Order: sequence, then C-alpha cells, then structure tokens
Amino acid sequence: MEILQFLFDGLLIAMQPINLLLVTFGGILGTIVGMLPGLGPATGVAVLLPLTFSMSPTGALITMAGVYYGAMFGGSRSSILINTPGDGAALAATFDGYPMAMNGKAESALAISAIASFIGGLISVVFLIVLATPVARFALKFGPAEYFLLMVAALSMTSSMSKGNMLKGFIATMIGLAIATVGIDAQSGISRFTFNILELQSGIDFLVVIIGLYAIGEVFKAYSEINNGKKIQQKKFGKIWITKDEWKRSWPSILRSTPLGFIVGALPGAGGTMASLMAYNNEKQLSKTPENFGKGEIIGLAAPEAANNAASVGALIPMLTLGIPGSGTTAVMMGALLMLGIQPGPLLFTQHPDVAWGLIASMIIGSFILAIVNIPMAGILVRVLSIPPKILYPLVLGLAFVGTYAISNSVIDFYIMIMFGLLGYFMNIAKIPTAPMILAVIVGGTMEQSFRQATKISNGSLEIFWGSPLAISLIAITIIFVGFPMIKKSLSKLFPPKKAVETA
Amino acid sequence: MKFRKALSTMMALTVIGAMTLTGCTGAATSDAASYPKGALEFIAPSGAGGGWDLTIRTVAKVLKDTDLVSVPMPVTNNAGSGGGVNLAYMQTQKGSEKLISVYSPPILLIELNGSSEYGYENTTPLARLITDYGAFAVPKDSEYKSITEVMEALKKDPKSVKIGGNSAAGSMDHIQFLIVAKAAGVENLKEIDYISFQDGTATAQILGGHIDLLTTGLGDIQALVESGDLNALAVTASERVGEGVLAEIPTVKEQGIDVVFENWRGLFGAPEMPEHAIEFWQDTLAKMVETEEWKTEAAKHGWAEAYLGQEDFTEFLKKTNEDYKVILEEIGLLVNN
Amino acid sequence: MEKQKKADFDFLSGGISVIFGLIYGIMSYNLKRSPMGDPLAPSIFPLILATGMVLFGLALMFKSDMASTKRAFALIKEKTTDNDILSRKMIMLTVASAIVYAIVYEHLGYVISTFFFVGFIMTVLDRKKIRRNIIISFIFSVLVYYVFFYLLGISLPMTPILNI
Repeated sequence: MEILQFLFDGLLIAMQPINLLLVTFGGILGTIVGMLPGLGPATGVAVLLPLTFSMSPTGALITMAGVYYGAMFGGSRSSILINTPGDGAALAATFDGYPMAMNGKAESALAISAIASFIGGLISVVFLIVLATPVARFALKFGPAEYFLLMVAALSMTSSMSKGNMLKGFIATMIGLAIATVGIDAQSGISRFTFNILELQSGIDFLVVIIGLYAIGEVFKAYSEINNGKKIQQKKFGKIWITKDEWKRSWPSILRSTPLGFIVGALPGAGGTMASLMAYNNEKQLSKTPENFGKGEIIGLAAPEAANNAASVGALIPMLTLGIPGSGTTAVMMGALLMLGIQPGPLLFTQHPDVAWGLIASMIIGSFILAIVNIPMAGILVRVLSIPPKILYPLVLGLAFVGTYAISNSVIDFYIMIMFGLLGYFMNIAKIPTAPMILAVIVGGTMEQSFRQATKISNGSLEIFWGSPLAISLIAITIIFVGFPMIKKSLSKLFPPKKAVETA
Repeated sequence: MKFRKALSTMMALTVIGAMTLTGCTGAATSDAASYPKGALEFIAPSGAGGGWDLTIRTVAKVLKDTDLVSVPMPVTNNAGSGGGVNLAYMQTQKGSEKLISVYSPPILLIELNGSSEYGYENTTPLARLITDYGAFAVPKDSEYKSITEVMEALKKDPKSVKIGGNSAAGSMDHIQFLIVAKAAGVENLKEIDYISFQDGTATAQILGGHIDLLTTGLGDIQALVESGDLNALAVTASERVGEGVLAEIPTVKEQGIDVVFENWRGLFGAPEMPEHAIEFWQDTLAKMVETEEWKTEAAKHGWAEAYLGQEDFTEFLKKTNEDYKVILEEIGLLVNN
Repeated sequence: MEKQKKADFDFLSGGISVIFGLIYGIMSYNLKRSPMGDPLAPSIFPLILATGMVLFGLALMFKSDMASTKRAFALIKEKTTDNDILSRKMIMLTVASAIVYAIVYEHLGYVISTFFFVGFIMTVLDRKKIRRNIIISFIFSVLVYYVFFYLLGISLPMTPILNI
C-alpha cells in the first residue's frame, strides 16, 4: 500500500501548523475572490503567483489549493444571494439557489451549497487518488469528434431547460452560438465579426455575457420591485443549516452528480461550467417533479454544487498526470509550478512525490477547513439580504462593472455587458429563455472548432463522428436525453395525471 | 421636484469632475540622472502563468535580488488578442520611460497576419534575453521515426500527416513547422492540414493519437518525452540543447534540413522611449544576464541564453520579420497593412 | 384558453430573429475567404446559424400573428402603472450613466468615476438620502480599489494627479 504511505506523508506535511494556516488563509482569500462577480479561481491563483516566488514549493502549492478550493465554495455565494454568479461554474447555482433565497430559504441554500461542495470535493479527492491514471487515459480518448458530440449533448439538454416554447429556446441557442463565433477563427486565422475592434479578436468572454444577463438584468428587474414596494429586506435570519427532510432529498443527487462532475472536469477544456450544468439537467430529467426546478428546488442547487467542486478536482488530473492544463485555472497553477522549477507531467508523482501528495493531502484538509469556515461565514454573508435594496443594487452594479473590467482590462466589455443587460431585460419580457443562450455561448466556440478539427483530420469525411465506440455512446446519450422528455410528455398525454397542470 | 434637482446636481458634479481631472493627467517627468524614479510598469501581454508572464516576472525578480533596480517593478497582465491589446496600449504610452513589456515571435506574426495594426516598429526594442526552441513530437508508437520521414510523406501527399498545435493558424506553432517544411523542400505548404487546439489541449490530442504530429515548444513536451509517452523527432535549435533525454533529441539540421527556428523572448519599451531610459536598460540588462541569479533562473526554466543588445536585437527583428513574411505569403495569410 | 386572448411578442421576436439572421448571414458570406483548405470553412458554421435563425424565426412568426403582438403591446400599455414608468426611467438612466461611466472610466480613474456612478444610481433610487449615498459610494469605490489593487494585484485605472 505504497499510495497510503505517500498519502500519509502528504497529510503529515499538510497538517503542519504553518501549512494549516496557509490553507486557511488561502481558503478565505479564495472564497472572497470567488464571490466577486467575474473573478474566479483563475484570478485567485494568479493573485498568489508573485507570492510563490518567496515561498517553498509545498507551501505555495498548499496555499494555491486553498484558494482554488475556496473560490469554488465562494462562487455560488453571490449566485444565491444576488443572482450574480461569481464565475461560470457557479452559473447553475443561480437557477434554484436564488429562488430559494427569495423564498426566505437563503440559510438552507447557503448550507446545502457548502455541504454539497464539501461532499463533492472530498469524494473526488478519493477518486483522484485511486483513479487518476485510468481517468486520464479515458480523457485522452476524446478526440475532436468526441468533443463535438459532447457539446451537442450538452446543448441538446438545454432544450429541456427552455420552459414552454422549444422554438424560442432554439432561437436563443442560435444567437448564443453566433455570439461565440466572434473573434479570430483559430483554424484559419481569419477574424470574424470583430468590426475592427481589437478587443473583440479574442472573442466575447462568456463571463461578460453572464454578468450582463444576470447581474445587470437582476438590477433592472429589482427596480420595478423596489418601486412596487415588493422588494423588502430580510430582517430575521435563522441558523445556516438544512432540515432533515432537505438532506434526505439532496444526498442522492449529490452522490450522483459527483462522479459526473469529476469525469467532465477531467476532460481538458470542458470544465466546471459544463459539469454543473450537466448535473443540473441530469437531476431535472430524473426528478419526478421537474416543474419545481427553477423555483427553489434544493436538489437543483445541491447537484450543480457537488458537480462543480468535483470538476475542480477532476481538472487537476490532466495537469498532474500529463502536464496538460485543461482549464484557465490549472494553466495558472501550472505556471506557478514551473516558476517553482517543477515540471508537471507523468513523472511528477515519482520525481516530486512530496509536492504531488502534499497538494492532494491539502485538498482533503482544505475541504474540512473550508466547510468549517464557510458555515459561520455564510451566517455573516446572508446578511447581505438585510441591506436595503436601494443601497444593495447600486453596489451590485458597481461590483458587476469592476468584475467585468478585471476579466480583460477592457472598457469595451462594459458596453457589451450593458447590451446584454438590456437584451436580458427584453428577452424576459418576450419570454425567451436566457439559459440556452448562455450555454451556447459557453460551448459554441469548442463546438464549431472541434467539428472543423475533426473534418480536417478525416479529410472531410463525416464518418469520424460515429467512428469510435465513445462517439457512438455519446450519440446514444444525446438521443436518450432529447427523446426522454418527449416520451415522458407523450406518456403523460396518454395517461393524463389526475390534476391537469396549467401551463404557461 | 427634488428628484430632478438631485439628479442634475450629481450630473453637474460628474461633468465638472471630468473636465478638471482629464485636463491634467500629464505624467511627471524625471531627469536622466535619477532614472528610474518611482514604480516601473512591467507588463506581461498574456494571462498569468504563460511564457511571457514567467519571463517578465523572472526578470523583475532577478533585477530586484541583484539590486540592479531598486524601485518597485509591479507586473501587470494585459492579455488579449495574442498580445495585440497590449501593443495598442503601448501606443497610448508614447514616450513613457516606465513601461517595459515582453514579447516573442508573435509580435511580428500578429502584425504580418493582420490581427494587429502595430508591430515591433511601434515599440522600442530593448534586448533579446533568452530563447526557447520548437519541437516536433509523435506518439510513441507512431510510424514516423524521424522528421525527414514526415517530410517525405508530406511531399507525396500533403494531407497524409495531420499537424496539430496550440496556437491559431498562421501563428507560432504553425509557422515553425512550415519554416522547417519549406527548408525540407515540401511544396504546397498551403495544402498541409494544420489543426489548432485551444487551452494547450493539442498535447492531449497527440497522446490520444487523434493527430499525427505535434508542433510546439520544447518545454511543453519535456516531461512527456522523459516519461516515454511521446517521441520527439526533432528540435529546431542549431545544436542539441539541454541534458539527459532532451539532449538525445536530434536537431532538424542534423537530419539534413538546414534551418533553425528560435522562440526568442525580449524586452520592449514604449514607442519613443527617452534616450536616458534606453541607455539605462541597455546597461542594466547587459549586467543582469551576466549575474549568477539570472543564470540559475534560466537554467531552472530550460531557457537558452541569447542576449542581444538593442542595436543587434533591432537588426535581428528586421531580418526575422522578412523570414516570417515569406512563409505567411506562401500560405496566403500575409496581410499588407 | 381562447385563441383571441392570446397576447405575446412571438411575432415580433420571430421577426427580429429573421432580420438578425439575414444580416448575420450576409456578414458571414462576406467574411474573408480562408487561404488554406476550404475557402468557405470559416463561413459555413455562421451560415448554418443564420439559416437556423431565419427558419426558427419564421416558424415562430407563423405560430403567432401580428395581432397578438399588438395585443401584447396594448396589454402592457394598459397595465402600466406609474411605478412601471418610473422603473423604465430608472433603467434608461442606468444605461445612460453606465455609458458615461464607460467613457470616463479610464480617464478619471476608478475611484472618482465609480464614486459618481454608484452615487448617481443610488440617488436615482433614493433621492432623499443624498448624504448617505455620497458616503456609501465613496467608501465603496475606495474599498474596492484598495482590495483589487493592493490585495489582489489587479490594476484598475489610477486616479489622475494623485497617481495612486
């Protein structure tokens, strides 16, 4: 049991008082950074880069793990409290987390988010220890064709997310995909739809779209509620915890979402956003009462939260085992490792076992510390809801702008964000769903690029898309996901439920 | 109408504030003798953790540790459009004595392929510091055992070998391969399929066998070559580099293709940088590359030292720019602006 | 649910989708041709999207009709309260001030521009407590600047003259 020995050594390193302090410091810093709109784990880790110069490799890595983990915990705080996701991975937490807070259940929402994050993260670290190599091998099977099919699967799942009208969902998807085509086309080197604006060459960051649609859109919505006197601040706060019943309903979905998030996270380039959205959809499909999703269903918050933390652990696999950064955050972490003179790759575990196992052990310790720190911290944070809305929403606006600026230091993004804020407002009036559009913006780039990568490899033949067992299984999954709601619908038409549900 | 009044007061304040403040943003100029005075502005034109970022942070650290520069040197990241965003920013800082940025071949490529209207002429090249080399790798069970075999296959059928890399078409990874292919006598460079991957995922694609050959920086595949997962066919240096497994990788020259491709990195000041600042950096950087601290750092990151002073560097840039121009012209990505 | 009472913006939304699709499609077709490989390669995916927007837009238009969009507008007009008008005014003011904010942001520096922007929005929402608004927006802008610049090392536009 060599692994246990290494892990034990790692734990000993991570348990040293100084390292405990570092992981706590990192965790709190990460939580704060994660909460700010636009700033995610990548920024948090980048903030630490200059510090790593003067730290020992292990100390630096442990702090970084704390930040990374903390940001994953923190990202959903602002999703729940002010409907403004801190980063892409926290997007799915707005779907049910914010309605929960609006229903006066902010305490449960914050608690389940911390609990689900903790469980998802901890189980994934165990997965990482046991399964790193086979999962890395599996991830390598994903060629461009498989990536394309994965994106199609993710997109087709949104059809189930668009409430009411499928057509409007398709239109939103098309527009989202069109937004993703802005920028330099990597396959040909030609810039598309950039209107000669330099900043647009690297494309429109999906975070700007999210902040525009959600944060700005939420502020606009809040105006009318303030004027109608509907928006009242919460004055009494309960304990940050969940009821037995809520726990009973949540744990199966947490356990289901963890492996899903872990695998999706391990695919280079897929990431936490995809993982949490897929987990959300998955739970909605499985649920007996899918109509409750989006209205404050606790499962709809527990699932993406578990998946998102699991994905953050999974994302470390390509970096640790192959030296490939699969996400923005792991790219920064890899940069930090390189600065410390450590080359991540297949030999990392044999050449630097102290570093690799120290990192893994500190993620375990970090999970516990963050769970302990987060519950009381949530107790303070929840009081955001007691700020009078007339003060809170201008501040949300201010944070949205500074967060957007932090993404790429460009004022152009301000205009883009305002545009999406207005677009979101009008889409809301016209009852066009925004979720499919956002997902399309997120996956659109990869979808088109991988399609063209695949056809270049196959010299134009489309057979590559069903040329591997993996590709065929992905097609099967998509068909099931698209077909399942239809079958369910036709079944319920054949056997109408006792009480006819009024549809909007 | 208290509401209106309050609003107009706020508006008026904003306008007055804007007028008074934008008018007087002139930077304080310091005299030559006391340069540098006050914090400098070090910029990495990429996100944190990338090659440019690593280079400029290392420079800042060495300058500080060796006391060559005693003023603060905060590094900021001004990413976007392959460095183009920062190039445009540098134009707004004409004559600044504080701004120091880092660039490598893309500063030439982004101007040539039209994605930036500015190029190296719109900066003040200060010094070339280091160089890295390109490498070509195949999966360990690939049918290709040498770079010449790849080139022969391409000559017969340009579609037979699928080349993958981590930069966009017409940028670094693509160009370095084409420069070698051209030197090897492959015609129809346009016909060769180059497949671009994002976020460094090309390495995963070569490991999974989805592409046939990976063109990238030597540093990016070092660990995978050491572990035996990838077989490096050639490195674009003039002679073998590094030690251990790396030293076993043959150069393209050894295999009869007479060409070298360097992924150099150098420092650039703002356009029209004052003379005294240029002199200071000439002097300081020449001293820096001789220090032990710098040599240790360079060795740690596997950088080959390639110092060139301001004049030589400018000359070098001019020549390299012509070389790249030829390749981009051939694949039709040259934009005349 | 009777057909006559149907009031929605689907006809208009569909129409916008068609127009947007057409413009996007024309722009896609006019993109620079790829010099390598298939010259149309960069345009194909956008062209598919444009077609999708037009087709789905038309389908949405056919499912609904102009009359229901008219009804929806009428309904909104009818239901609009003074509060709604106020809200719309606030949104317009927010957008306008956000644009001004974006214009002056890099010139005035973060702290000053944000102080005015946040303070202005607060005043739009609550014009009675100007002193409170000034204090809060001042604290906010300075605090955020401090946190971003000094703690996180993310550079925001500096305050002119003071150069901090």
